[in-house]
Amino acid sequence: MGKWINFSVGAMENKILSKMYILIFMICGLSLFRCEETVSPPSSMRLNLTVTVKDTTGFSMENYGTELVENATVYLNSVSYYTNFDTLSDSTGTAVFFQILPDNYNLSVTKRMVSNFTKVSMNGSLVNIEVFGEDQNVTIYVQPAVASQMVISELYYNGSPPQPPYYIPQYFHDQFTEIYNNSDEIVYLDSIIVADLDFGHADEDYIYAVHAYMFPGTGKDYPLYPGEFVVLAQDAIDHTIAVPNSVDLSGADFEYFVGGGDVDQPNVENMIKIHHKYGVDVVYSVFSDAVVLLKVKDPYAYGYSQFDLILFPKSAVIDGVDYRDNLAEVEYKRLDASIDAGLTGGFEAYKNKSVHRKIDAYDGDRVILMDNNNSSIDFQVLDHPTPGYLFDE
Amino acid sequence: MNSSIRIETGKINFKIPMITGLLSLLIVTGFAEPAEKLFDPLYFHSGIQLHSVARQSTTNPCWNFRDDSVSMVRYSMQSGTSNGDFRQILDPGRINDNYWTASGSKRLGEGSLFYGSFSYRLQNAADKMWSHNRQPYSGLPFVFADSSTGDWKLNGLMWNVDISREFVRDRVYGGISVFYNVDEEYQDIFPRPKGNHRDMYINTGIGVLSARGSRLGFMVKYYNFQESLATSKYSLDQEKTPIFYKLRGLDTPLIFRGQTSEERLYSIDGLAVSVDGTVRKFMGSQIDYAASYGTSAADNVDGGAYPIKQGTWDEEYASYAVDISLLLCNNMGIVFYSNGLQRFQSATHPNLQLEIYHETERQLSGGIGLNLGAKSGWAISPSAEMTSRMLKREDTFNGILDYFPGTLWKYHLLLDTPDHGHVDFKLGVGLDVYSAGETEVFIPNNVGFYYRSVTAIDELYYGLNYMAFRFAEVLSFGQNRRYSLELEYLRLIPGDSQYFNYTFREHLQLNFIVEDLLRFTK
Repeated sequence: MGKWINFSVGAMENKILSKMYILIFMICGLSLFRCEETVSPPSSMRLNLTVTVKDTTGFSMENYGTELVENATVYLNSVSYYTNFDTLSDSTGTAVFFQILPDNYNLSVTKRMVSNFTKVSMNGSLVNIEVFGEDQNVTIYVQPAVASQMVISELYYNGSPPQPPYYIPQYFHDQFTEIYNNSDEIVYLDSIIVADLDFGHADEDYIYAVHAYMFPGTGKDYPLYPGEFVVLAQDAIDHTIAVPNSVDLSGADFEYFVGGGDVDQPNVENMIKIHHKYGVDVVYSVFSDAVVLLKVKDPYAYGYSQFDLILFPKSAVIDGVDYRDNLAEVEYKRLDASIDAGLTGGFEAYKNKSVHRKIDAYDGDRVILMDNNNSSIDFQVLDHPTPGYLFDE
Repeated sequence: MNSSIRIETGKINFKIPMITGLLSLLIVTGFAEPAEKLFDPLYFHSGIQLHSVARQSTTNPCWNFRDDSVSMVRYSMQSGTSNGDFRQILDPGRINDNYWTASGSKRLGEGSLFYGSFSYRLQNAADKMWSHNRQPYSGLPFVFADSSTGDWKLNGLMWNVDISREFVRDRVYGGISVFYNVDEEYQDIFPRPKGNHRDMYINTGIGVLSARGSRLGFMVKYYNFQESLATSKYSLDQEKTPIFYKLRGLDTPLIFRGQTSEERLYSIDGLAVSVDGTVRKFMGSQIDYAASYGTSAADNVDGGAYPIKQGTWDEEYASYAVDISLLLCNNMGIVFYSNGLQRFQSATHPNLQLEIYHETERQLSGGIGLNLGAKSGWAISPSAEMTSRMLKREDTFNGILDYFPGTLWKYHLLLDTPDHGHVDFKLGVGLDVYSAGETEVFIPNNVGFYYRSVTAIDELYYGLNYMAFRFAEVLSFGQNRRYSLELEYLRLIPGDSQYFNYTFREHLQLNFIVEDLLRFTK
């Protein structure tokens, strides 16, 4: 590297240059100002939602001297954000959700108690509550429901995806309904009706069924012991032959038989057809439906709707399950809160998935399944159906 | 109900091309032209960063005729690779971006110059988490994502045409530059989202030249960047359903389950004006300057044939750069330089019609460099620069505020060796030291999974000191046919951090250029 050349400038040039250097350093000095600013907590569109839980049926007044329901679990789920919150109502029946985002929300309330040695659940629901703009107050009304002795423990409606060797598309023949005795007493299936419901009937007293089938028997012919299951199959055959990942229902206890070309397994008892609006078989929707257990003296006593749906009183319903592939669509529920305050499912059709009641407790060896009359809470999703046995066996 | 969380160290990620720090100093005589230091919306929103071409998107095309005394044909290959886990969480773990370019310029008659370039781009990005957006940190808070992490591959073609003309000999110049890019990228695993992009800008400029050689130019730029993201049901992926996230800020995306397909379209429209020029022989110095101001807006729409608005976005920016060069003696020069940028962005909720997000970014730099030359031809150029930076983002829907100030010191040393025949070799080393200021983070009591998984990690990243080591070289040889091999290496090392412990981020850029030069006769 060569030597640097020394430079010298005249006095005048020195003055000009020195002034310029000062100017330049001043300009550059501006760049040394820090780009900082003071900050304060941000504004937010979050709001508070106050929920008052009330029972106007008289049950709470009779038992607790107030219509306001304390210690009820209030569930809040956001339609858009899939966020879920829960809290308890206080002594004034009030539950507050702090700082939630503006959105539409679905509310459901459950309180479990024992009244006169009977398990009772208080349930209520509200759908599509708009929480926008400012803090909101809502009142949710609950009503009591007795925990069922007999419950739908599992509902497999989803169907199976195409699989080798046959790649049968949209295989739904392997659907089944599993019923369980959730009590410590013997119950009887005789004359119990299984029905699936239509949507869109705002009727306080009746449910509208598309299909209704009854267990045979004269009264005590088909006992169901505590902790025992029965499986009601659409077609009681081994479906794994056609679809390897499906289920073997050849050992099912009961079968839907419509007649004509429907499968009729000779070793399996057929249900009694009460009403069958359409279809070559009793097919639950793979997308959304509601299935109930009910008991009436005369299934034909309540008549039909103008669309050929058979009517049953809501008071006759023993248990019910409401399901949809999109759980956010609570406004399309088919069962009101008195039967089922929630919604289960939430998966795509033909995925071999099933919904099964959760285990609530054990009474010795006997399993007690969850029954809050709220499918959102009571059911879980299984990756594969478990006809006739518990998911953890 | 908001709480203030203080993070001790801070690092701001600014979307300026860090890799050109040294290379630009080496390959452009002295220092990068002020116009090239201006905010570049093309790079910011598309990630396209062509170093190996003669024209940049922020330069005024009117001067091409004046500044290019040679006709040339140039072939170049540019390859840049980044990898390392010291990054924003939605950035790919590894990214390799390659451009193959053919370009050339030619005089058209007495008073016009034509320049054109054509490039093919191939990019491979690995371990890109969730986001389908090509630039999830460009400032638009509307990120479209799904729950998968996969590798992406991009193929694209781009071209650029400049025409400049001398309207009045040695006095008035005009020019126009048009750029167009189309590319497509896709993820290799379920749900196999795809992205299609179409980017374009048009620069029109006019400039005047004085008898003393001072110049003043004005440029108007229009740009439009479109990104179309689509996920459709893939028949071989049975029993799988994607989970889509649609983000509108820093937390709580809309979540969609059981939905097998979705489309999103972003369209950014922008307009910018800039001024550039040179003042010669001003008190014995030369002042080069450029400044720009621009605005842009974007619509975000989902749903394809049945569009559903997802929100709007607006941006306003201003940037400047000024160099003051003094020749102190025959072989000694000094340069004082300063540049700055300020950007404001805001986003509006599609239904509530309220502002839900805004972001402010600001940086101000000042530096000094020396050029010390010897008669033998060796030259050494040390420089030092200080930058004050600030990033503030506020999600007024969720109630989250991030504030990250900091100071960056840069020290560079460039060495230019004497030309041996037609061989030229330059070498540069640099050290950047970033010190975070007092960071502020405000969050609500109930943050969601997205904040915990993404935003919180990014806040750690921004709020961290770091050091960067740079090395660059330019080797060029040949007379009429010139070969150049340019290399820059950058390694970012974070300061003390539990999350980023033992991580780094490095970048290697290689440009190989073959250029045939034919001198014009003026």
